[in-house]
Amino acid sequence: MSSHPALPVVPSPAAPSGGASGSSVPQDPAAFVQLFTKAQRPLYLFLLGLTGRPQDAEELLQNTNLVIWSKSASFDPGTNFFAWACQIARYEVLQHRQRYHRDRLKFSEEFIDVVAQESIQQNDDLEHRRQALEACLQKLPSKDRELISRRYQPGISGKEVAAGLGRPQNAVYQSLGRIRRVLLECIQRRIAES
Amino acid sequence: MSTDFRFEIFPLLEALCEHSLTPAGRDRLEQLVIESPEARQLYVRYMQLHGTLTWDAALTDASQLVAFAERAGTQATTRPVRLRRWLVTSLGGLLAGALALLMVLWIGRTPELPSDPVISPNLANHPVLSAPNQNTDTTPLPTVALDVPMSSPTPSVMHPPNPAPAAVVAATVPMDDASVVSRINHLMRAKWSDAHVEPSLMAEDSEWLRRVYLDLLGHIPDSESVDRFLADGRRNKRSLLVQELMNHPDHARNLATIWSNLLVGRTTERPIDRAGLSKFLREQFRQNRPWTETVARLVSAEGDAREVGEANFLLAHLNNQAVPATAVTARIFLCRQVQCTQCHKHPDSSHGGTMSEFWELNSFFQQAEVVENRKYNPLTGRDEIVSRSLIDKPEGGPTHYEDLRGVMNVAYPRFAGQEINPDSTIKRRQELARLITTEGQRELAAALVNRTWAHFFGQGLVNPIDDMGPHSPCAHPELMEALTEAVVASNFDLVRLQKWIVSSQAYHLSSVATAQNASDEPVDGALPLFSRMYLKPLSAEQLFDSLLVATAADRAGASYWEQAEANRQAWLADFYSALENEENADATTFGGTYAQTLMMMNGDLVQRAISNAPGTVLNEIARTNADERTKIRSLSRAALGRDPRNQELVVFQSQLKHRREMPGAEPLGDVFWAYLNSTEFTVNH
Repeated sequence: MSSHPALPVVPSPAAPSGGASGSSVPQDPAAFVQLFTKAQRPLYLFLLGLTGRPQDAEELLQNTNLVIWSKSASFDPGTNFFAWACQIARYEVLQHRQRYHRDRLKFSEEFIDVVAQESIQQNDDLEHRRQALEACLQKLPSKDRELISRRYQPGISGKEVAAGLGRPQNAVYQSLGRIRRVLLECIQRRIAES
Repeated sequence: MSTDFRFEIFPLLEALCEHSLTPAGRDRLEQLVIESPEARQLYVRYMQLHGTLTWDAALTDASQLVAFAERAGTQATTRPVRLRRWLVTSLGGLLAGALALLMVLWIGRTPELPSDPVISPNLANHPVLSAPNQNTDTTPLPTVALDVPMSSPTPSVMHPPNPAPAAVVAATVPMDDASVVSRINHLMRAKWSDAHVEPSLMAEDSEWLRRVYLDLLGHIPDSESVDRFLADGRRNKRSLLVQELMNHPDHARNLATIWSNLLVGRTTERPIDRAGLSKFLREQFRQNRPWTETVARLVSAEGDAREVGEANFLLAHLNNQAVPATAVTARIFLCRQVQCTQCHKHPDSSHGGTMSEFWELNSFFQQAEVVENRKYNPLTGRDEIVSRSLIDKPEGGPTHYEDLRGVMNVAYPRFAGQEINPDSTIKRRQELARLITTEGQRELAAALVNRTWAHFFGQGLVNPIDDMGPHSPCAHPELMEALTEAVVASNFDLVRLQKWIVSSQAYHLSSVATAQNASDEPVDGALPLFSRMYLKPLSAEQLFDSLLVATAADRAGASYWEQAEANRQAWLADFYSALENEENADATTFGGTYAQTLMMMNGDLVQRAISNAPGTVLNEIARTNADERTKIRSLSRAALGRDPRNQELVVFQSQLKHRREMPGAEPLGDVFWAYLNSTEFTVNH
């Protein structure tokens, strides 16, 4: 698996001469990068749950990564990286929410709070669920699989899929909803069986 | 999981994923997720599915992606911009970024790391970057020190002498209002889940509106405010209202009433200037002065009661060798019962509570003295007391007291382990004010938290409210700790404390118990879980002021302000009889008693309210041209802040039909009378 586009814009490495940047470097850089990297997808999913919109989640992941990076020295390697990162991410969401407070579709703080907790709790079997999803995608009827693939091309929305297929928007939404439900149930079943 | 529930949530989730969720749908989704654990779980899983599909699609091999895009063809106009961005970032920017990151990270240790871009292609397979995505860490949460400016400039408050236990992660988490509120919510939910209860549903707007008016302003909302709030479609209308109410003049007035009652009781017998004390408090609350300042001024006040309002607090309690002053100071500000230790040790003496401690505190009041200012009255030919002043006489040395065996002991002024210089030149009350607000500030903050919490929930975190200490179990120690911490860090900002509490989930819960939280019944002696709003009987002041808001009965009689205030005092006097005891505390005979009921039903005020005199609310409603149902609804909103239930409409309408045929008073008066005398009216729920 490769990494995600949402990696941070990192400050130029030109500055550090003579160990001047020593204070902002984590205690064990290699280990930190590893934790950082493997937390990218969980963090993205965490942020998506808090915002409901992939575009916001992407943007916030960038911001969160920058903060994680700038705070890397304060991370205590003996502790839970993901939980630490989630606190930063949650804070970024609240900040973001305040900046765009006029947006009528933002979630409430209370909602963000409950979902954040729930997401952290549900993070543990994320990888199992992802593998189950892969298997479940294979089992979809080819027509459904194609529709889902079209829908999840980067930057494509259901509306555009509908336009591309020349089908009514509502009908496409319904189909997508049905397929997602099938996938969700399939994942549940596989997790329960394993 | 019930089918109904899935039936409702799936369309909302689908709409969310397809960007077609309406604000109303979003509200409903929020409500479901907040209220139901199953919905919450489903929401997170659904979004994980949605997110994984989105994320993984972006990771598909670039050539595949391009091919796929070419096959799809039709989206040529919309796709390329974003697609290009993804491709560029994923292949160029990403790897360059990751490389730069690695370089910066490693630069200190491995300066020989080649910066040749030739390394890039291998990076995707770098063991570090392709590490399995698993998170099985169960190690404790570290703290995040985000650079959020604190409202208090005092550096010492950031590192209190007794740091919170490791469990309290909040200690260094940002102190903005949102974080404190979510901390409260988090701790509350953890408690509910530990205790296997589910919180009640969210209170309806009408229920919550009446509650927040009573708690913040001390009276119910008038019907105009009810109409406006219920019609308001903004989703943040509750927080907007809280802000509005906190700037309302009645907010400071309400706090002043509450604290005046605590500080000097309700009795008007004492020779003090109650109005002066009230005015001092009102100003302090209106300007939202730090609580430490208010306490310090009350404890160390000097001067003529007519000029220095805060002096009236101690003037009320300096009799009997300042024993009442000692006890009241500890009970009101620190929620500590020390008066029993005046004569014997506290049953649990591990937390102080010894005789010497009582007298050491008492010793701070040793210099305080009441001076009567007399003036010759030519009419009576005598010197008469015109006012009283609180002064400190320059006296030093210890306080003497007799213990149980009749042995005389001495006590020097000492508080929170700090002994002060007992010389006559040192003003002891000023020293006490200093110590309470510095050495004793955590205790002061905890007491403020407990009182404020109890004000809003009807139950303190520790009960009885004013008997805190290791012998009193705390309903939620972590929450108490977190709020105490926050109060200290906010520099004792009472308005913010109120805001945090009023914004918390628990404050928005309905008072109706469910099968899942029926066990949460503090009246039965259990520790309160706050999984629903407990009922609070209205105080005499709340009841009176609410009656006026609901009925405008005061407009029916002599309507100038002094007369109205005199009426208020006379009316209130009937509601409580002061039971004076050694500690100068008074108890009120109030709370749904028979006498109160009779007074409500037949009292002059209520009679005037339903007299249909011009200017009253009843009269205003009765004389409109609206139909009967609308009029009943207006009366219901005026009295209870909600719309009439169907059953009420049926009963009232059939009654009104009979009355219409009879001559006499306005029949709607009976409807109003029934509403005003309902238990619902006399309870804050």
